Amino acid sequence: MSGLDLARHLAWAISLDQGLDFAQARDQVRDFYSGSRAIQDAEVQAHLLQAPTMTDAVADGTVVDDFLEKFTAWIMAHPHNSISDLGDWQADFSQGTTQAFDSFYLYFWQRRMVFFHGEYFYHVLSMMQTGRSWAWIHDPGDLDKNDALIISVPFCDTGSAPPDLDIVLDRCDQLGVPVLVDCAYWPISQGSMLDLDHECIQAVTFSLSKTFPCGHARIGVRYTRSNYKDGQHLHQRIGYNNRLSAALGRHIITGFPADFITTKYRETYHLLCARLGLTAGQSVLFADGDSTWCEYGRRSILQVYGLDLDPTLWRNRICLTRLLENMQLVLHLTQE
Amino acid sequence: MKIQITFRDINPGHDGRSPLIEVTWNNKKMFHDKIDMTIPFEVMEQDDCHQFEALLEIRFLNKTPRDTVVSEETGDIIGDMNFTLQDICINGESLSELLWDGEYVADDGTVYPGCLFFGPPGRYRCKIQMPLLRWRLERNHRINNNDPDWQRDYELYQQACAILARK
Repeated sequence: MSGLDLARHLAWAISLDQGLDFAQARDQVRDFYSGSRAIQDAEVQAHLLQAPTMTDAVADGTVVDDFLEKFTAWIMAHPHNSISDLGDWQADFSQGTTQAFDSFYLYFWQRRMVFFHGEYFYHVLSMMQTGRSWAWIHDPGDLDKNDALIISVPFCDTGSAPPDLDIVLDRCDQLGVPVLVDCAYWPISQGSMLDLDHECIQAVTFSLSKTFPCGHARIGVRYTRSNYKDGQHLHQRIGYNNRLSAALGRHIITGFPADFITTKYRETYHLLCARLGLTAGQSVLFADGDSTWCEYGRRSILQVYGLDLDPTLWRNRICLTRLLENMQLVLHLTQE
Repeated sequence: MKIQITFRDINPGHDGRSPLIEVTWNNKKMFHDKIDMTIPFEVMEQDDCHQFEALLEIRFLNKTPRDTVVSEETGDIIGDMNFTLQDICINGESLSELLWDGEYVADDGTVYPGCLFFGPPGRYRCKIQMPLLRWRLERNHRINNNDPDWQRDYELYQQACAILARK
Protein backbone atom coordinates (compact mmCIF):
# COMPACT_ATOMS: atom_id res chain seq x y z
CA MET A 1 0.00 0.00 0.00
CA SER A 2 1.27 3.49 -0.78
CA GLY A 3 0.21 7.00 -1.67
CA LEU A 4 -3.24 8.27 -0.80
CA ASP A 5 -4.49 4.83 0.27
CA LEU A 6 -1.72 4.57 2.81
CA ALA A 7 -2.39 8.14 3.95
CA ARG A 8 -6.04 7.31 4.60
CA HIS A 9 -5.15 4.16 6.53
CA LEU A 10 -2.62 6.02 8.65
CA ALA A 11 -5.08 8.79 9.40
CA TRP A 12 -7.71 6.32 10.56
CA ALA A 13 -5.33 4.24 12.63
CA ILE A 14 -3.78 7.24 14.39
CA SER A 15 -7.18 8.75 15.11
CA LEU A 16 -8.58 5.51 16.53
CA ASP A 17 -5.41 4.91 18.50
CA GLN A 18 -6.15 8.20 20.27
CA GLY A 19 -9.37 6.63 21.56
CA LEU A 20 -11.74 8.45 19.22
CA ASP A 21 -14.97 6.75 18.18
CA PHE A 22 -16.01 6.35 14.55
CA ALA A 23 -17.65 9.76 14.21
CA GLN A 24 -14.86 11.61 16.01
CA ALA A 25 -12.19 9.78 14.04
CA ARG A 26 -13.98 10.49 10.78
CA ASP A 27 -14.06 14.20 11.57
CA GLN A 28 -10.36 14.17 12.38
CA VAL A 29 -9.49 12.15 9.29
CA ARG A 30 -11.23 14.71 7.07
CA ASP A 31 -8.84 17.41 8.33
CA PHE A 32 -5.91 15.14 9.00
CA TYR A 33 -3.60 16.64 6.39
CA SER A 34 -5.00 20.16 6.37
CA GLY A 35 -3.95 23.08 8.48
CA SER A 36 -0.50 24.11 9.56
CA ARG A 37 0.00 23.15 13.16
CA ALA A 38 3.37 22.83 14.90
CA ILE A 39 4.57 19.39 15.94
CA GLN A 40 3.81 18.54 19.57
CA ASP A 41 7.42 17.58 20.11
CA ALA A 42 8.00 15.77 23.40
CA GLU A 43 11.31 17.52 24.15
CA VAL A 44 9.75 20.92 23.60
CA GLN A 45 6.71 20.04 25.68
CA ALA A 46 8.94 18.93 28.54
CA HIS A 47 10.85 22.21 28.25
CA LEU A 48 7.61 24.19 28.29
CA LEU A 49 6.81 22.74 31.70
CA GLN A 50 9.80 24.68 33.03
CA ALA A 51 8.54 28.01 31.66
CA PRO A 52 8.59 31.05 33.96
CA THR A 53 5.51 31.67 36.03
CA MET A 54 2.93 34.17 34.81
CA THR A 55 3.54 36.51 37.74
CA ASP A 56 7.29 36.52 37.16
CA ALA A 57 6.79 37.15 33.45
CA VAL A 58 4.36 40.03 33.92
CA ALA A 59 6.65 41.65 36.49
CA ASP A 60 9.72 41.41 34.25
CA GLY A 61 10.12 44.86 32.70
CA THR A 62 13.01 43.83 30.47
CA VAL A 63 11.63 40.59 29.08
CA VAL A 64 10.25 41.97 25.82
CA ASP A 65 13.42 43.78 24.81
CA ASP A 66 15.52 40.83 25.88
CA PHE A 67 13.36 38.45 23.87
CA LEU A 68 13.64 40.63 20.78
CA GLU A 69 17.42 40.86 21.06
CA LYS A 70 17.76 37.11 21.55
CA PHE A 71 15.26 36.35 18.79
CA THR A 72 17.19 38.41 16.25
CA ALA A 73 20.38 36.48 16.95
CA TRP A 74 18.45 33.20 17.10
CA ILE A 75 16.71 33.56 13.74
CA MET A 76 19.86 34.73 11.97
CA ALA A 77 21.76 31.75 13.35
CA HIS A 78 19.51 29.27 11.51
CA PRO A 79 22.26 27.23 9.85
CA HIS A 80 20.25 26.16 6.82
CA ASN A 81 18.60 29.46 5.89
CA SER A 82 20.08 32.75 4.81
CA ILE A 83 18.77 36.22 5.61
CA SER A 84 20.43 39.64 5.52
CA ASP A 85 21.52 41.26 8.79
CA LEU A 86 18.42 42.17 10.79
CA GLY A 87 20.47 44.14 13.30
CA ASP A 88 19.78 47.47 11.61
CA TRP A 89 16.02 46.95 11.55
CA GLN A 90 13.76 47.99 14.37
CA ALA A 91 12.27 44.99 16.11
CA ASP A 92 8.75 45.09 17.56
CA PHE A 93 7.00 42.36 19.47
CA SER A 94 4.11 40.95 17.43
CA GLN A 95 1.21 38.75 18.45
CA GLY A 96 2.16 36.16 15.87
CA THR A 97 2.68 37.30 12.32
CA THR A 98 -0.98 38.28 12.25
CA GLN A 99 -0.56 41.50 14.22
CA ALA A 100 2.04 42.56 11.70
CA PHE A 101 -0.44 41.91 8.88
CA ASP A 102 -3.11 44.00 10.57
CA SER A 103 -0.63 46.80 11.11
CA PHE A 104 0.45 46.66 7.46
CA TYR A 105 -3.13 46.76 6.21
CA LEU A 106 -3.62 49.88 8.31
CA TYR A 107 -0.33 51.58 7.51
CA PHE A 108 -0.93 51.30 3.78
CA TRP A 109 -4.67 51.79 3.93
CA GLN A 110 -4.74 53.96 0.83
CA ARG A 111 -3.18 51.26 -1.34
CA ARG A 112 -4.67 48.20 -2.95
CA MET A 113 -3.50 45.14 -1.02
CA VAL A 114 -2.27 42.36 -3.28
CA PHE A 115 -1.34 38.74 -2.62
CA PHE A 116 -0.05 36.00 -4.81
CA HIS A 117 -2.58 33.28 -5.35
CA GLY A 118 -2.15 30.71 -2.59
CA GLU A 119 -1.45 33.13 0.24
CA TYR A 120 -2.82 32.89 3.76
CA PHE A 121 -6.63 32.95 3.77
CA TYR A 122 -6.60 35.43 6.65
CA HIS A 123 -5.67 38.17 4.19
CA VAL A 124 -8.60 37.41 1.93
CA LEU A 125 -11.07 37.26 4.78
CA SER A 126 -9.74 40.50 6.29
CA MET A 127 -9.96 42.31 2.97
CA MET A 128 -13.46 41.05 2.18
CA GLN A 129 -14.86 41.79 5.61
CA THR A 130 -13.47 45.30 5.78
CA GLY A 131 -14.36 46.22 2.22
CA ARG A 132 -10.75 46.94 1.30
CA SER A 133 -9.49 47.20 -2.22
CA TRP A 134 -7.47 44.05 -2.88
CA ALA A 135 -6.58 41.52 -5.56
CA TRP A 136 -4.98 38.19 -6.18
CA ILE A 137 -1.98 38.45 -8.47
CA HIS A 138 -0.30 35.70 -10.44
CA ASP A 139 2.96 37.20 -11.70
CA PRO A 140 5.05 40.34 -11.23
CA GLY A 141 3.39 41.91 -14.27
CA ASP A 142 0.15 42.17 -12.31
CA LEU A 143 1.69 44.62 -9.82
CA ASP A 144 0.66 48.28 -9.91
CA LYS A 145 2.42 51.31 -8.41
CA ASN A 146 -0.53 51.87 -6.05
CA ASP A 147 -0.31 48.39 -4.57
CA ALA A 148 1.06 47.07 -1.28
CA LEU A 149 2.19 43.43 -1.31
CA ILE A 150 2.30 40.76 1.38
CA ILE A 151 4.32 37.73 0.36
CA SER A 152 5.21 34.68 2.40
CA VAL A 153 8.74 33.23 2.37
CA PRO A 154 8.50 30.22 2.39
CA PHE A 155 5.32 30.47 0.41
CA CYS A 156 2.10 29.62 2.24
CA ASP A 157 0.72 27.41 -0.53
CA THR A 158 3.74 25.14 -0.80
CA GLY A 159 6.07 25.59 2.16
CA SER A 160 8.83 26.33 -0.33
CA ALA A 161 10.26 29.51 -1.85
CA PRO A 162 7.72 31.56 -3.79
CA PRO A 163 8.37 31.50 -7.53
CA ASP A 164 10.52 34.32 -8.93
CA LEU A 165 10.94 36.05 -5.59
CA ASP A 166 13.85 38.21 -6.76
CA ILE A 167 11.96 39.28 -9.89
CA VAL A 168 8.93 40.17 -7.76
CA LEU A 169 11.02 42.23 -5.34
CA ASP A 170 12.89 43.94 -8.21
CA ARG A 171 9.56 44.88 -9.73
CA CYS A 172 8.33 46.25 -6.39
CA ASP A 173 11.55 48.28 -6.10
CA GLN A 174 10.91 49.76 -9.55
CA LEU A 175 7.27 50.60 -8.83
CA GLY A 176 7.74 51.73 -5.23
CA VAL A 177 5.37 49.03 -3.98
CA PRO A 178 5.83 48.46 -0.22
CA VAL A 179 6.24 44.83 0.77
CA LEU A 180 5.72 42.87 3.96
CA VAL A 181 7.53 39.52 4.00
CA ASP A 182 5.72 36.89 6.04
CA CYS A 183 8.31 34.46 7.41
CA ALA A 184 5.96 32.36 9.57
CA TYR A 185 7.42 29.16 8.09
CA TRP A 186 11.04 30.31 8.13
CA PRO A 187 12.24 28.28 11.16
CA ILE A 188 10.62 25.08 9.85
CA SER A 189 12.31 25.35 6.47
CA GLN A 190 15.71 24.65 5.02
CA GLY A 191 17.25 26.47 2.08
CA SER A 192 15.21 29.63 2.49
CA MET A 193 16.89 32.86 1.42
CA LEU A 194 15.85 36.47 1.82
CA ASP A 195 17.75 39.53 0.63
CA LEU A 196 16.60 42.53 2.63
CA ASP A 197 18.54 44.97 0.50
CA HIS A 198 15.44 45.44 -1.62
CA GLU A 199 14.17 48.89 -0.69
CA CYS A 200 10.59 47.82 -1.24
CA ILE A 201 10.69 45.59 1.83
CA GLN A 202 9.19 47.66 4.60
CA ALA A 203 8.47 44.91 7.10
CA VAL A 204 9.47 41.32 7.82
CA THR A 205 7.66 39.21 10.37
CA PHE A 206 8.34 35.89 12.09
CA SER A 207 6.41 33.67 14.44
CA LEU A 208 7.07 30.68 16.67
CA SER A 209 3.55 29.29 16.20
CA LYS A 210 4.38 26.91 13.35
CA THR A 211 7.66 25.78 14.86
CA PHE A 212 6.85 25.05 18.48
CA PRO A 213 3.62 24.03 20.23
CA CYS A 214 2.98 27.53 21.54
CA GLY A 215 0.64 28.89 18.88
CA HIS A 216 -1.94 30.07 21.37
CA ALA A 217 0.64 32.31 23.00
CA ARG A 218 0.92 34.18 19.67
CA ILE A 219 4.67 34.81 19.87
CA GLY A 220 6.12 36.77 16.98
CA VAL A 221 8.47 39.53 15.96
CA ARG A 222 8.14 42.20 13.33
CA TYR A 223 11.09 44.06 11.82
CA THR A 224 10.62 47.38 10.09
CA ARG A 225 12.86 50.07 8.69
CA SER A 226 13.86 52.84 11.09
CA ASN A 227 11.44 55.41 9.66
CA TYR A 228 8.41 53.14 10.03
CA LYS A 229 6.13 54.44 12.80
CA ASP A 230 2.78 52.94 13.66
CA GLY A 231 0.70 51.74 16.59
CA GLN A 232 2.51 48.47 16.90
CA HIS A 233 5.87 50.22 17.09
CA LEU A 234 4.44 52.71 19.59
CA HIS A 235 3.56 49.86 21.93
CA GLN A 236 7.07 48.55 21.62
CA ARG A 237 8.55 51.98 22.29
CA ILE A 238 6.49 52.65 25.41
CA GLY A 239 6.91 49.13 26.75
CA TYR A 240 3.26 48.13 26.52
CA ASN A 241 3.53 44.66 25.06
CA ASN A 242 2.62 41.14 26.07
CA ARG A 243 5.26 40.05 28.58
CA LEU A 244 3.71 36.60 29.02
CA SER A 245 4.20 35.74 25.38
CA ALA A 246 7.64 37.32 25.29
CA ALA A 247 8.74 35.39 28.38
CA LEU A 248 7.52 32.12 26.92
CA GLY A 249 9.17 32.92 23.61
CA ARG A 250 12.47 33.68 25.31
CA HIS A 251 12.22 30.46 27.29
CA ILE A 252 11.69 28.44 24.12
CA ILE A 253 14.40 29.99 21.95
CA THR A 254 16.97 29.73 24.70
CA GLY A 255 16.20 26.00 24.90
CA PHE A 256 16.31 25.13 21.23
CA PRO A 257 18.14 26.41 18.15
CA ALA A 258 16.15 27.80 15.23
CA ASP A 259 16.75 24.66 13.16
CA PHE A 260 15.76 22.26 15.95
CA ILE A 261 12.56 21.04 14.30
CA THR A 262 13.93 20.87 10.75
CA THR A 263 17.04 19.02 11.83
CA LYS A 264 15.15 16.61 14.06
CA TYR A 265 12.40 15.73 11.58
CA ARG A 266 13.93 16.25 8.13
CA GLU A 267 14.89 12.63 7.53
CA THR A 268 11.53 11.31 8.69
CA TYR A 269 9.77 13.93 6.58
CA HIS A 270 11.51 12.69 3.43
CA LEU A 271 10.71 9.11 4.33
CA LEU A 272 7.01 9.99 4.61
CA CYS A 273 7.03 11.94 1.35
CA ALA A 274 8.52 8.95 -0.43
CA ARG A 275 6.04 6.48 1.03
CA LEU A 276 3.05 8.72 0.36
CA GLY A 277 4.07 9.81 -3.11
CA LEU A 278 4.29 13.45 -2.15
CA THR A 279 6.72 16.02 -3.48
CA ALA A 280 8.99 17.19 -0.68
CA GLY A 281 9.56 20.91 -0.22
CA GLN A 282 11.72 23.20 1.87
CA SER A 283 9.44 23.08 4.89
CA VAL A 284 9.48 20.08 7.15
CA LEU A 285 5.72 20.20 7.80
CA PHE A 286 4.34 20.48 4.28
CA ALA A 287 4.54 18.49 1.10
CA ASP A 288 2.91 18.94 -2.26
CA GLY A 289 0.19 16.48 -3.28
CA ASP A 290 -0.95 15.88 -6.84
CA SER A 291 -4.57 16.18 -7.91
CA THR A 292 -5.50 12.87 -6.24
CA TRP A 293 -4.99 14.60 -2.88
CA CYS A 294 -7.73 17.14 -3.51
CA GLU A 295 -9.84 15.91 -0.56
CA TYR A 296 -7.14 17.14 1.76
CA GLY A 297 -5.08 20.27 1.04
CA ARG A 298 -6.60 23.42 2.50
CA ARG A 299 -10.23 22.65 1.61
CA SER A 300 -11.35 22.39 5.22
CA ILE A 301 -9.62 25.65 6.15
CA LEU A 302 -11.67 27.43 3.51
CA GLN A 303 -14.76 26.01 5.16
CA VAL A 304 -13.64 27.05 8.66
CA TYR A 305 -12.97 30.57 7.40
CA GLY A 306 -16.35 30.63 5.66
CA LEU A 307 -14.73 31.44 2.31
CA ASP A 308 -16.68 30.27 -0.71
CA LEU A 309 -13.66 29.90 -2.97
CA ASP A 310 -12.79 27.09 -5.35
CA PRO A 311 -10.26 24.88 -3.48
CA THR A 312 -8.85 23.53 -6.73
CA LEU A 313 -7.25 26.93 -7.32
CA TRP A 314 -4.73 26.13 -4.58
CA ARG A 315 -2.02 23.52 -4.45
CA ASN A 316 -2.82 20.43 -2.44
CA ARG A 317 -0.60 21.43 0.47
CA ILE A 318 -0.38 18.37 2.69
CA CYS A 319 0.47 18.93 6.33
CA LEU A 320 2.40 16.00 7.81
CA THR A 321 2.36 17.19 11.43
CA ARG A 322 0.10 14.44 12.74
CA LEU A 323 2.19 11.73 11.10
CA LEU A 324 5.43 13.21 12.43
CA GLU A 325 3.89 13.20 15.90
CA ASN A 326 3.04 9.51 15.66
CA MET A 327 6.06 8.06 13.93
CA GLN A 328 6.25 4.97 16.11
CA LEU A 329 2.78 3.93 15.04
CA VAL A 330 3.38 5.09 11.46
CA LEU A 331 6.49 2.92 11.17
CA HIS A 332 4.67 -0.03 12.70
CA LEU A 333 1.77 0.35 10.29
CA THR A 334 3.89 0.91 7.20
CA GLN A 335 5.83 -2.26 7.95
CA GLU A 336 2.65 -4.38 8.00
CA MET B 1 -25.15 -11.41 22.36
CA LYS B 2 -27.44 -9.72 24.89
CA ILE B 3 -30.67 -8.22 23.65
CA GLN B 4 -33.14 -6.15 25.60
CA ILE B 5 -36.53 -5.05 24.32
CA THR B 6 -38.40 -2.28 26.10
CA PHE B 7 -42.03 -1.28 25.72
CA ARG B 8 -44.07 1.70 26.86
CA ASP B 9 -47.75 2.67 27.15
CA ILE B 10 -48.91 -0.86 27.85
CA ASN B 11 -52.70 -0.91 28.01
CA PRO B 12 -54.64 -4.04 29.10
CA GLY B 13 -57.74 -5.45 27.43
CA HIS B 14 -61.35 -4.82 28.49
CA ASP B 15 -61.23 -7.46 31.21
CA GLY B 16 -57.82 -6.48 32.49
CA ARG B 17 -55.91 -9.05 30.45
CA SER B 18 -52.33 -8.13 29.71
CA PRO B 19 -51.06 -8.31 26.14
CA LEU B 20 -49.47 -11.65 25.33
CA ILE B 21 -46.44 -11.59 23.06
CA GLU B 22 -43.93 -13.90 21.46
CA VAL B 23 -40.43 -12.84 20.47
CA THR B 24 -38.46 -14.81 17.89
CA TRP B 25 -34.89 -14.43 16.63
CA ASN B 26 -34.42 -16.06 13.24
CA ASN B 27 -37.69 -17.93 13.88
CA LYS B 28 -36.39 -19.32 17.13
CA LYS B 29 -38.61 -18.60 20.12
CA MET B 30 -36.93 -16.41 22.73
CA PHE B 31 -39.91 -15.29 24.79
CA HIS B 32 -43.58 -16.23 25.05
CA ASP B 33 -45.54 -14.69 27.90
CA LYS B 34 -47.42 -11.69 29.17
CA ILE B 35 -45.70 -8.50 28.15
CA ASP B 36 -43.34 -6.75 30.54
CA MET B 37 -41.79 -3.31 30.28
CA THR B 38 -38.41 -4.92 29.71
CA ILE B 39 -37.70 -8.26 28.10
CA PRO B 40 -34.07 -9.40 28.09
CA PHE B 41 -32.72 -12.48 26.35
CA GLU B 42 -29.53 -13.78 24.81
CA VAL B 43 -28.87 -15.14 21.34
CA MET B 44 -26.02 -17.35 20.27
CA GLU B 45 -24.14 -15.15 17.83
CA GLN B 46 -20.35 -15.10 17.81
CA ASP B 47 -20.02 -11.39 18.43
CA ASP B 48 -21.39 -8.10 17.24
CA CYS B 49 -18.38 -7.22 15.06
CA HIS B 50 -19.01 -9.67 12.25
CA GLN B 51 -21.39 -8.78 9.48
CA PHE B 52 -24.63 -10.76 9.59
CA GLU B 53 -28.38 -10.36 9.46
CA ALA B 54 -31.05 -11.76 11.74
CA LEU B 55 -34.83 -11.50 11.70
CA LEU B 56 -36.40 -10.27 14.93
CA GLU B 57 -40.16 -10.60 15.26
CA ILE B 58 -42.49 -9.57 18.09
CA ARG B 59 -45.96 -11.06 17.76
CA PHE B 60 -49.05 -9.65 19.44
CA LEU B 61 -50.94 -12.83 20.23
CA ASN B 62 -54.10 -12.23 22.24
CA LYS B 63 -55.85 -9.17 20.81
CA THR B 64 -59.54 -9.72 20.05
CA PRO B 65 -62.21 -7.30 18.78
CA ARG B 66 -63.67 -7.18 22.31
CA ASP B 67 -60.43 -5.53 23.53
CA THR B 68 -61.33 -2.37 21.65
CA VAL B 69 -64.09 -0.49 23.49
CA VAL B 70 -65.95 2.17 21.52
CA SER B 71 -68.24 4.84 23.02
CA GLU B 72 -71.81 4.34 21.84
CA GLU B 73 -72.41 8.07 22.09
CA THR B 74 -69.38 9.50 20.30
CA GLY B 75 -67.93 6.55 18.43
CA ASP B 76 -64.52 7.27 19.98
CA ILE B 77 -62.31 4.46 21.21
CA ILE B 78 -62.39 4.69 25.00
CA GLY B 79 -60.42 1.54 25.81
CA ASP B 80 -58.03 -0.62 23.87
CA MET B 81 -55.45 -3.30 24.45
CA ASN B 82 -52.28 -2.01 22.86
CA PHE B 83 -48.65 -1.07 23.54
CA THR B 84 -45.67 0.53 21.87
CA LEU B 85 -42.18 -0.71 21.22
CA GLN B 86 -39.81 1.79 22.82
CA ASP B 87 -36.37 0.43 22.02
CA ILE B 88 -34.20 -2.56 21.36
CA CYS B 89 -30.70 -2.67 22.77
CA ILE B 90 -28.03 -5.04 21.50
CA ASN B 91 -25.11 -5.47 23.87
CA GLY B 92 -26.15 -2.23 25.50
CA GLU B 93 -26.33 -0.21 22.28
CA SER B 94 -29.71 1.27 21.44
CA LEU B 95 -31.07 0.72 17.95
CA SER B 96 -32.88 4.08 18.28
CA GLU B 97 -33.58 5.32 14.73
CA LEU B 98 -32.89 1.87 13.27
CA LEU B 99 -36.19 0.69 14.75
CA TRP B 100 -37.91 2.59 11.96
CA ASP B 101 -36.40 0.20 9.44
CA GLY B 102 -38.78 -2.41 10.82
CA GLU B 103 -42.44 -2.79 9.87
CA TYR B 104 -45.69 -3.82 11.50
CA VAL B 105 -47.56 -6.54 9.64
CA ALA B 106 -51.17 -6.83 10.74
CA ASP B 107 -52.84 -10.22 10.64
CA ASP B 108 -55.10 -8.97 7.81
CA GLY B 109 -51.96 -8.49 5.70
CA THR B 110 -51.71 -4.72 5.96
CA VAL B 111 -48.08 -3.57 6.25
CA TYR B 112 -47.25 -0.41 8.21
CA PRO B 113 -43.61 0.57 7.52
CA GLY B 114 -41.75 1.97 10.51
CA CYS B 115 -44.68 1.39 12.86
CA LEU B 116 -43.82 0.69 16.51
CA PHE B 117 -47.41 0.73 17.72
CA PHE B 118 -49.02 -2.63 18.48
CA GLY B 119 -52.69 -1.84 17.85
CA PRO B 120 -54.20 -4.40 15.52
CA PRO B 121 -53.25 -8.03 16.02
CA GLY B 122 -50.09 -8.75 14.08
CA ARG B 123 -46.32 -8.56 14.42
CA TYR B 124 -43.43 -6.15 14.30
CA ARG B 125 -40.58 -7.52 12.23
CA CYS B 126 -37.15 -6.06 11.69
CA LYS B 127 -34.13 -7.36 9.85
CA ILE B 128 -31.32 -6.70 12.31
CA GLN B 129 -28.10 -5.90 10.47
CA MET B 130 -24.86 -6.23 12.34
CA PRO B 131 -22.64 -4.42 13.03
CA LEU B 132 -24.99 -1.63 14.00
CA LEU B 133 -22.57 1.09 12.92
CA ARG B 134 -22.60 -0.19 9.35
CA TRP B 135 -26.39 -0.37 9.42
CA ARG B 136 -26.64 3.20 10.74
CA LEU B 137 -24.33 4.58 8.05
CA GLU B 138 -26.11 2.69 5.29
CA ARG B 139 -29.53 3.80 6.55
CA ASN B 140 -28.48 7.42 6.95
CA HIS B 141 -27.28 7.57 3.35
CA ARG B 142 -30.36 5.69 2.10
CA ILE B 143 -32.68 8.18 3.82
CA ASN B 144 -30.74 11.43 3.45
CA ASN B 145 -28.52 10.76 0.42
CA ASN B 146 -25.77 12.83 2.03
CA ASP B 147 -22.94 10.44 2.74
CA PRO B 148 -21.66 8.81 -0.44
CA ASP B 149 -18.35 7.86 1.18
CA TRP B 150 -19.86 5.92 4.07
CA GLN B 151 -18.86 2.50 2.77
CA ARG B 152 -15.25 3.46 2.05
CA ASP B 153 -14.86 5.11 5.44
CA TYR B 154 -16.49 2.22 7.24
CA GLU B 155 -14.09 -0.21 5.60
CA LEU B 156 -11.11 1.99 6.50
CA TYR B 157 -12.39 2.10 10.06
CA GLN B 158 -12.72 -1.68 10.19
CA GLN B 159 -9.25 -2.21 8.77
CA ALA B 160 -7.72 0.27 11.19
CA CYS B 161 -9.44 -1.44 14.12
CA ALA B 162 -8.05 -4.79 12.97
CA ILE B 163 -4.54 -3.40 12.59
CA LEU B 164 -4.62 -1.77 16.02
CA ALA B 165 -5.92 -4.98 17.57
CA ARG B 166 -2.81 -6.78 16.31
CA LYS B 167 -0.47 -4.07 17.60
